[in-house]
Amino acid sequence: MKAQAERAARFAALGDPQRLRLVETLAERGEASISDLSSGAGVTRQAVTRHLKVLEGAGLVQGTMRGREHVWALDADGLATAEAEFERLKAAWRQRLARLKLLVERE
Amino acid sequence: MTSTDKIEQRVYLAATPERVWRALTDANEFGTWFASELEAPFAEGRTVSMTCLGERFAIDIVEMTPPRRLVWRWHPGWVDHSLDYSKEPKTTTVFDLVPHADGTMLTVTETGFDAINAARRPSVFRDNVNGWLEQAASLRKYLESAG
Repeated sequence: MKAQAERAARFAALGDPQRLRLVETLAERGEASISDLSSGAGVTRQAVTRHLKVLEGAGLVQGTMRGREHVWALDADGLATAEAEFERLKAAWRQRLARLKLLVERE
Repeated sequence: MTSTDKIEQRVYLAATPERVWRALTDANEFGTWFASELEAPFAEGRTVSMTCLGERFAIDIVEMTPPRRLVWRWHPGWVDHSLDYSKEPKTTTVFDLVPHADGTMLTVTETGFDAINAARRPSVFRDNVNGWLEQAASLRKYLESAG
């Protein structure tokens, strides 16, 4: 299934400590350049670029050109979806509790 | 704890805590409102298998204090056979029953969503929701046929 393949790709993408750190850094900062992401991290720009490409392929981050610099951020659509889905999960609990209410108050 | 780590909902039920406890823990009654089938009754410390729309879920029953508190842990998403669930974090769901007026105030709290990484979260929520919608439809059918 396509959805499962996508999810598997995301897990594979995050199954590396350096990539996970990149995602966390982008979550904190909003956006960052490759220089930002490689400075002080003990990794080369090439390694950071390679990791970002893997994350991009998994739909986790997006890169845009700003002037001559490549700026990276988490995929905003993905995050917006997460928020909406969380609201819907809450609604699912409300539905379940409504059914429970129906059941215990029926007698 | 962030706002996306926890779901908390409270409902007043015009029934005694004992009655609500039965609905939460009796396998048949639970199956009715949760739209699922339990393979064994809940028991503290037991992992109970639940079948729901042909998929199996495992619920770890952490605490049963009748008729006050039920706690379980589970993987909150639809079953994805490509995942190694032994490495996946679980969420914790607490059912808290407090006598209130002539009935029961039930608070349900599910926590631990932050531990499920941001990448997985969208899929987890989407899958859960689709499952619940189908459950709701099957339950409505059951309630209508039961009268």
